[in-house]
Amino acid sequence: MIETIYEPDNSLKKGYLCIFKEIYEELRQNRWLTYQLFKRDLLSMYKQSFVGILWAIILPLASVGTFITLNSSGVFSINDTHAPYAIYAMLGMAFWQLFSTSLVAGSNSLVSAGSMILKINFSKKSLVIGSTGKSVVSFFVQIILVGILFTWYGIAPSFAVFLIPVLVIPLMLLTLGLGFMISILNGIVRDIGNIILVFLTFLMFLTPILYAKPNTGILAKVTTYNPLYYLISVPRDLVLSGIIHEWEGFAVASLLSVLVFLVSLIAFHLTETRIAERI
Amino acid sequence: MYYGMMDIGRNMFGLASHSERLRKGEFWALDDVSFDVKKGETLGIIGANGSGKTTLLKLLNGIFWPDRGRVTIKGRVGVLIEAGAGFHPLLTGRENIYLNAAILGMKKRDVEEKFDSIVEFADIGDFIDAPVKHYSSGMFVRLGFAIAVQCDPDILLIDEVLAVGDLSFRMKCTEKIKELQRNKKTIIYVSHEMETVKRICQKCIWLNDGRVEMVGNPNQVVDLCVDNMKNVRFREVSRMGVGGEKVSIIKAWTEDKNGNEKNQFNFGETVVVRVRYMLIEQVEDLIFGIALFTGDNICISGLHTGLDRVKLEQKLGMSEVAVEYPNINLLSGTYYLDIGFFESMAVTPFAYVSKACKISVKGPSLAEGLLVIDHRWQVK
Repeated sequence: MIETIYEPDNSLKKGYLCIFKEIYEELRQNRWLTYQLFKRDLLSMYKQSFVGILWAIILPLASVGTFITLNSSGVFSINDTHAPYAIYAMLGMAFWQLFSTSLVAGSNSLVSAGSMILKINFSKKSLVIGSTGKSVVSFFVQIILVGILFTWYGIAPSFAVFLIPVLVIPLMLLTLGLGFMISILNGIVRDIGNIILVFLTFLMFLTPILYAKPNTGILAKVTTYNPLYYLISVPRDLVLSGIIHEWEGFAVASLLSVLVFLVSLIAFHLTETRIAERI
Repeated sequence: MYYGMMDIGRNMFGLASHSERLRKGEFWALDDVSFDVKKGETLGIIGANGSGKTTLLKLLNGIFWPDRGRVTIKGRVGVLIEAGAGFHPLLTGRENIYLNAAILGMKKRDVEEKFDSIVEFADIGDFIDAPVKHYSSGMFVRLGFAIAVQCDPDILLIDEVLAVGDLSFRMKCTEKIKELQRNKKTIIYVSHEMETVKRICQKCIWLNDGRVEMVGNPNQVVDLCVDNMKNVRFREVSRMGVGGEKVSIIKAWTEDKNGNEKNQFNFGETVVVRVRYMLIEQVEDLIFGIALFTGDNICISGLHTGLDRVKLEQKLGMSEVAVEYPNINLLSGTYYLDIGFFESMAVTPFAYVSKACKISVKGPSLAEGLLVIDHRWQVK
């Protein structure tokens, strides 16, 4: 018979090592719940309207299309990208969208399930993880689109195209980590959800996704320390050409992602009960 | 917001939260509430709105953690709090069963085994394959309840959810609860339905303003709680000087035919209700109304001066109006009088006091129902 005890400062009394075990147990036991919540998120987009799925294509197409037009009309001069710009941009956008939409979804996941959290005791980690459903589906739709572009341009991607699910793991870990952190903060200070949106827009332009990394200037310096740059452009380079140029950066960025994920997961675990009080 | 950030910060860095101290603006939703429930017992929790019943359930469910004290639970907890939590309107009933069951804590294996009995219990027919947004509220609740009940928890928390739903649904619920009781499951039942509490609970707690007012046998606790709630309302309303800008009710009392103020009467006595009021502003055709109610708010007779074409004294300042019931033929019990002053249509009140007076009638048991209507037997 399971015995549960609720008392103030529960986690403190047990100590940090116990927490890892608790978290692991919780994630393991709630696999099916996470899958169900993931599926719910996914299906809601699909069932909503025909435009639901199309939206996953229209949005990136629109932004990329704008840049292509700007590039060809000479407004922006985008450095040589070693590949047809459309593919370069689409692929980059796909990875970026995976990051940004998952992050936004994760940040809002607790707030939007507020009434449920107040009534039923269930694993909130599953809620955050499951909220990435739509983004993951959109990502795959965009990859398919990229595949179509490849055939249109008559180029073949490298074998790494099959490794994409593995290559995005560090990116997803970073996203989930940040998502855990921000979802709790968002529950208390509701503005954070909006701030994140604005911040992401800036970040998208500051990270070389739609253009190649500049060699000089402030942006070049900043980009060297931007983990997102490595997490997006290295997989992209791999898919396009089969060679990695900046693998040390990728390794460091991946390590950072894992760290962020673990720290956030622990912080989330310690604070998730407080959420019900404020949401 | 500030407190929230502080709490989170402390939790994260492993600092003690000192939650037993109240900060400015905080109050104890539950204070010094201690009780235990044994396996197989059904505990009822009753109390006025805002007394802390739902907060208590949330503590038992693990949604809030106590700031002081400890909650120890042996066994799996299931809830019957809002039916259909997590239901996504666009998904079908079938898909939502899986979703809801997962949220409530069931394992995949259990859901697949019990799927058919859930569908059968919910009794919504072919609608199971339609998106949930098309369901009526009754179907919603039935499906939610069907899933929650199949969870098979050791301890079931029920929060006023049985109030929704038609009679057949409520009967189904009560039967299911009885079945759970036979299987020695523990049930904690929060409700305003006093009759059900008396029927199904072995122990009852009365919560008042976050404190335990009484613990004991449901029959006693319920009666005391109900009596108290009615009296509180009565006391609130008896406060003098109730009214609006045009008419103000100063005092209302009952007396016998000799003018002695009293409110205990014998069957058949004369009851006089006297009301002192102040006319602040001149109005057209002032009407005084008085209605007699039973203890559970059934209106026995509502009278007003307009119906009987009686004109009231309409001079500014203090006045009195009284009504005499020459032969009070009510059955033994407690009764309440609502009084009010209205405009000429007797629709909008200038001043109204609910339960302004309370009388009790004592007498022989000469009939069933509300009163002993004038009658004469004819036997050949």
